[in-house]
Amino acid sequence: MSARRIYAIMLRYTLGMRHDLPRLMDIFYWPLIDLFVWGFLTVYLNQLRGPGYLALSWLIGGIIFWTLLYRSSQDVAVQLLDDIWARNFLNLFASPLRLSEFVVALLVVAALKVLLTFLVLAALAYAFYAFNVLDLGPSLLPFVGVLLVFGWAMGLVVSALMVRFGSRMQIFAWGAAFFIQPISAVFYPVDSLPPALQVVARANPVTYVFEGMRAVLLDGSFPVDQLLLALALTGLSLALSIWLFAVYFDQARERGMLARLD
Amino acid sequence: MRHAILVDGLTKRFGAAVVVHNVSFAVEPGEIVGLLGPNGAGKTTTIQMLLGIIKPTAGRIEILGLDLARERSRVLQQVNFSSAYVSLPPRLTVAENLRVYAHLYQVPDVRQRIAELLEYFDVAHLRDRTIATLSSGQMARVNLCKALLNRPRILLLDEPTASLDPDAADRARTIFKDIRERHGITILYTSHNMAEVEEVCDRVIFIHEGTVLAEGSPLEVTRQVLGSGVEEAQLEEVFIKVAREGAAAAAGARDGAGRIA
Repeated sequence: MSARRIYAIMLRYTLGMRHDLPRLMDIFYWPLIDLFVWGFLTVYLNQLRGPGYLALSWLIGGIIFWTLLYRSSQDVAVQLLDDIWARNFLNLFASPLRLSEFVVALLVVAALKVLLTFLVLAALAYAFYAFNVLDLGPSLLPFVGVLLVFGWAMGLVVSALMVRFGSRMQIFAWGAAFFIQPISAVFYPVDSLPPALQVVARANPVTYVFEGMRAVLLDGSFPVDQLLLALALTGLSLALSIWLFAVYFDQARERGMLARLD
Repeated sequence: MRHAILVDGLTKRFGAAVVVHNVSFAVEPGEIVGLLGPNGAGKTTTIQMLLGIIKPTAGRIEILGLDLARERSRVLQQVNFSSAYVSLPPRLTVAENLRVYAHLYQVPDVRQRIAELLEYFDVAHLRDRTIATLSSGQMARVNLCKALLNRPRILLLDEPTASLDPDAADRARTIFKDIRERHGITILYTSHNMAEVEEVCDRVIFIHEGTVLAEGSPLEVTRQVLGSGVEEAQLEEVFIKVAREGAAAAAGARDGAGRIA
């Protein structure tokens, strides 16, 4: 792997943001809208039910973490889509660039953008709703790690589909994360789901993050065993998504799809 | 002498369709070779196989003595590419785009190289403009800057003048000849403009329905297809004949007498 080629791709995606209002809105504007809508809803719910810091924390924490997941997934896929739209994909892969270098750059830039969004949301949640993500203590880091990496995995699956089946798959670039939202226990405990869906939800590593967040906020407990399971499932998801991307990329080269992506 | 490009038995099938069939040719260092043929002849697929964008079904590609399938990254470090149908990210400025590609090709002196090329192609005044704001002629020149960033030993040009007005196309042709003379770059070139090919190319390879129909200097190819009595290159006539008569013209070419079977 060449660090310089990875840097080149990172440069391509970060420089692009400066002149790209829709991408800046993806990073800041829409997440802030989500935060404010859910934040004010929870303020209202608390007014109805009397002061309840706990309910407020669940929802605000839920929206911040959920944003982290879907932004991570979306960033990976939309960056790739940007090069398909720009008809630049062929230029990139007619260069010495290796697929592994491209993937590393794609993931690192997505992570940088997501962490930027996360920091802004966390600061505003503290300023407007007195929600402090640091209250999650040492669990914060693995929670963020699972969401970021699982988002990468979803983004790579969507990217694989776009490379293999063309840009008609682009709808998933924005919506992939929402497919799993109902079974991720983002705003409600997994026990509220029907029994069959609970089984599915427990195979989803993201569920353990949101369940874990509520456990920490509720009684300060930190379910280490569940977190380890989440980390293992996330690692497996990332490995499978990288494998799928490599296989579909190779099939796209075989079928001449790389040259026809637009 | 080692060939700049050696293509041996190259075949590409997409399902039942054979797009390139058992194509073999060699390009020598410093040559400008035109890869010609009607739409769907297999030119672009061949170029894309040479760039590693499309995987061949069979056959071997050797570039500068290296096997492309085994040493793709090393090979492409010494090759570059420009096409009228491929663009650069529209929201990046000219200088930003060239910076990205300079790092991608690991160019040692990024700033200096970009400045040299912008000057050479007379686009230095566009360096801070985004690609989206350029005319097609300006964009073609910026694409050529990108294509020369890594001082390639081999340049693959897929219809590089397709979107240019006659003046800009003429300047581009002068540039191709100039860079070959100054740097000894080998150029493989596809175009539908036969006058341009006659002017620029030392040799042409005429492809029809995925197979090599004729190969040689523009005059030799003209004689192979139109008949040995022809006095000067008439690739336009060759092109029309092949496009309209297809296999019949091919048969004429194969027996070297220009007869239509």
